[in-house]
Amino acid sequence: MSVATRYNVDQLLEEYKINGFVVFEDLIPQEALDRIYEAWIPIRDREIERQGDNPNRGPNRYCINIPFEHPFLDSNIFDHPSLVKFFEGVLGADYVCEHFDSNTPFPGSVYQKWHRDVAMLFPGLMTPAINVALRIPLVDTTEKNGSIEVIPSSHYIADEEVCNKEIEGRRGKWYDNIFGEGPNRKGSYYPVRLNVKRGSVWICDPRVFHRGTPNVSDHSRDELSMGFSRPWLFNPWLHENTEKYFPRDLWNSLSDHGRQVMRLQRVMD
Amino acid sequence: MDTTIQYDIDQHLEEWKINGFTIFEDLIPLTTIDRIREAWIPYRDGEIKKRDPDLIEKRYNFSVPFKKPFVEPEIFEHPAVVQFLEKALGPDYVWGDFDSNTPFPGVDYQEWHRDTPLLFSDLMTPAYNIGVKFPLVDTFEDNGSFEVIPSTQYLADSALCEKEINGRKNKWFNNVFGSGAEHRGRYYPVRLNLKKGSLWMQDGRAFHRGTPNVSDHTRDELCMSFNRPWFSSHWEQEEMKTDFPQDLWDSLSDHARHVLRWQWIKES
Repeated sequence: MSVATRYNVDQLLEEYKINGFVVFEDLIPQEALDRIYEAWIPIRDREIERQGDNPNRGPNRYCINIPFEHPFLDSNIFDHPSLVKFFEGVLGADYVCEHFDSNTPFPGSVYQKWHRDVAMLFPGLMTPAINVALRIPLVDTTEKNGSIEVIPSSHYIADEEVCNKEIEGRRGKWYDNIFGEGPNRKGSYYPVRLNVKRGSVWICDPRVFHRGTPNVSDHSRDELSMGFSRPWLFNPWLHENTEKYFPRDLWNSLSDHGRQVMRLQRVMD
Repeated sequence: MDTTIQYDIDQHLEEWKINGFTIFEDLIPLTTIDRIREAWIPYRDGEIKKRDPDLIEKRYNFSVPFKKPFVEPEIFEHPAVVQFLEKALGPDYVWGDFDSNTPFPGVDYQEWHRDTPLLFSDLMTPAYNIGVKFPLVDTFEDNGSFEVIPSTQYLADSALCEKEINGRKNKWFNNVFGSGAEHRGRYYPVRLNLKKGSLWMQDGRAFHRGTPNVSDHTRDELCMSFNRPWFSSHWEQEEMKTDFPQDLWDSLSDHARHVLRWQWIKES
């Protein structure tokens, strides 16, 4: 199934709850990634051509939906027993898959703004995790090719004075004003770079403050991202995609648990 | 729109935050309710006919079409309703489900229940879902008016909400409060006997149940469900059809469209 099959999930859950992210080293065999990468490139390139001069995540940086199809949707990854145990520990046993997309900075991409990927449920109120993102790098990620930068343990920050700061009479998510823009740093904070090897996956609480960094290498940094959530979280992606798209044969091939996790997806007749 | 009655919104909010429900009396003109009821009865009866005739049911819950006369800005855009929902759920609230409760004569007690799940075990949170309900007939003890237990919307203790009985954890609320006419423990349920034309707002987490209808008529009630924009029962994804009428959409105010933004307009 995977290169490393034994993980101390309790230890990883503890790290995750404290840091807001965690890395599962060597979870995916290289040949499985080869298959995914090969299928991914033509999809990616078609979408890049369609987006033209205005990439949807800033200069040379793309977010592209991933089809719920083989080889992308792989039970050996999303239904890996250690990941299932982990997701259940974070989100409860009735968690669902919410979306499947990707992050790809090409050479020439720049710093993203510091951001979160999900809004707080209630202003000022810290809650347990709402959703998680499973990130699957398709290449080794390094400081040169624009690995992600995160501020550990920042996922529980809910203070309105920070999260909805008022500057010149306007309230907003002014996180660059707090942490500094681009290479500039403000205040004393402790971001780390997640240089994750191909074959490993990392999981983050989307509330943790993070950003993409410039890719100054000679290749793209392709990464798939699967979102999982508690079952009551509204899913704009699903709501907007009203067509049935999930292949019936893929659905039939899933385990009962795999179907439970994919139960909100629209299966073709 | 009848805005002649001035409602004290802050007072209603206070009641709602403490009790888990509040009643706006005489908010809907009776002529509007009659128009809705006239369209509702044939629709309801048509839906009943589609169901399994061998399955004897007496308490029905049907989706209500997002169409005139059921979608009525005079009701959901009433200034008192809008002000209340903005303060309770934030200004970006959204209308999710639209359904109904219809107990027929002969129906028995429902089980004690909540309409919406807790977000997290053991964690009390502010409200994220409000059922805005209006009866199409006067409701009273004979025709099965609702019974609620005030101030129970914030109970989150897993020992209560996921009680363990014989090794199984579940929502054993009848075991807590008593089943049917039997009462267990000392709790203080009240009956909501609402006049036709009134509208009540309910935090879906407050414990409640339908009661026996021993009258000679149905007790029909429509229920609009409003959410914070991140909360979903997934009804809108599983049940909703792409059939919101374009002409109805065109007739709505900007605010009404914002509230109904999860709807899918019928393609022409």
